[in-house]
Amino acid sequence: MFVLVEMVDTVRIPPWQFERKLNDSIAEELNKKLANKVVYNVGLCICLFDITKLEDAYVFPGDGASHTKVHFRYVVFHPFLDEILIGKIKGCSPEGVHVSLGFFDDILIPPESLQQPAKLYPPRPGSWHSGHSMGSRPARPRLLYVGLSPLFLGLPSDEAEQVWVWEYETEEGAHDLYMDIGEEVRFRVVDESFVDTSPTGPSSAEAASSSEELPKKEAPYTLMGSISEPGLGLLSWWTSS
Amino acid sequence: MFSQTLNILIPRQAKSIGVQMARGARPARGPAGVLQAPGVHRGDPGVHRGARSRLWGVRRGAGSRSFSAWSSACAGDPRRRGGEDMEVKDANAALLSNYEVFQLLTDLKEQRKESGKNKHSSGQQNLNTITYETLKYISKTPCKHQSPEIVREFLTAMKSHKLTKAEKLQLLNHRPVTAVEIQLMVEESEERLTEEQIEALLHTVTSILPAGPEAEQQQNASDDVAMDEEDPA
Repeated sequence: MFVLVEMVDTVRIPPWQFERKLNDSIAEELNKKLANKVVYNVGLCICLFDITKLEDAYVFPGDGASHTKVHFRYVVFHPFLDEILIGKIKGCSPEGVHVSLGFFDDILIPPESLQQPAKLYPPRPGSWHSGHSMGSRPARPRLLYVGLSPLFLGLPSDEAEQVWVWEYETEEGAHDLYMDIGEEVRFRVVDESFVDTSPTGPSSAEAASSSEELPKKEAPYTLMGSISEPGLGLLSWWTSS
Repeated sequence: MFSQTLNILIPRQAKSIGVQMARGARPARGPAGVLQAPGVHRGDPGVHRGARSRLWGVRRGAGSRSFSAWSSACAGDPRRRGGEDMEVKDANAALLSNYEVFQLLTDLKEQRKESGKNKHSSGQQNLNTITYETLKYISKTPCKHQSPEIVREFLTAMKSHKLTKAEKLQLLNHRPVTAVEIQLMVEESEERLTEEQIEALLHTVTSILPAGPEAEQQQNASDDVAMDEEDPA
């Protein structure tokens, strides 16, 4: 789950911190800069592991602060491909199941990677989405995202509380296994994507977006998970009592 | 502003010194030692040129040396060049087990508790948040009760099973108790491990690694039930 990343950076120590030990000031500055931040193509930085090398500190004309080039190692959250992780379900939406690890929230399990057959319950009012046949192949049963009028079904009409359901077939009949919020789930990491969210220049942005709509906040680091194997999914599904 | 003025002058200095020398005019900036050029007569084109080029050569030799020494010091100035960027030397230097990260974060928390004064400054908020959340997450896993000796013992016991580093790490972090979990973590376990080997692996894992906090709770609950049953008798 966690890796050690070797990095090099120049740390600026302002003059009012010269009385402190250099190592402590540098450690604090590095943590201030990197902790809880995502570095592009590297991962979510957690905390400083150690400082490997400190080069000479320079004071440049016009700036009273000292600049030190530091070689250090940082603990970074970066699960490898196909790693098994355990997280909590944060919510369900038509995009899939959102899982969170507490310190990292942007994990999505898309509907095609759920245990099949799966459906979203309760269904959204007034939308016939039978065309949403995600992952429909002749061998596997189709994913159902059925939209019927809630009044017809006698269901509450607000779609705020939707959950994905695994329709587990046994000899006795189909059991509906709900993926409720707050449940612990074991999943496999199948994909990761880094998005560079550094600010762009003013010229293109202003022309493109109007002032009313807020810019979409994209998560800089997202993981895609899968629970379509035996053993994956809610922990309660697989514990032998 | 002082440095801004310098910035403008720095690149031009190498050129301007030669011109000034040729004119025999005021001494240019730079090390004094270089300015002892032989006298050059301005009016004389041929000499002038040759001399200038020679001087230029001299200038280059010494002046550029000193110039580069200073400019290399300045080149690192983040405000001048827009910052030397942070560089990632190795994005995968080592894999860390959850226990190691747990240990590191608990030590960090102790250290910061002792020093006390600067925990709540706005800059430290990110570190506080991530430390708290990660510690909370790892505390709910079996890794909480591990120790370096346990990890060492586990790895020596794993040598015989011929697993990859990633597989051993997953077993260490998750402590599987069923064969299904082993099949998830070990790639192609049906081909590489027989049933007995999987059983042996499970046995090693459960005997060496301590159970997690949830398993302990269940253990306590079942113990209580057993005690209640004994009481009426």
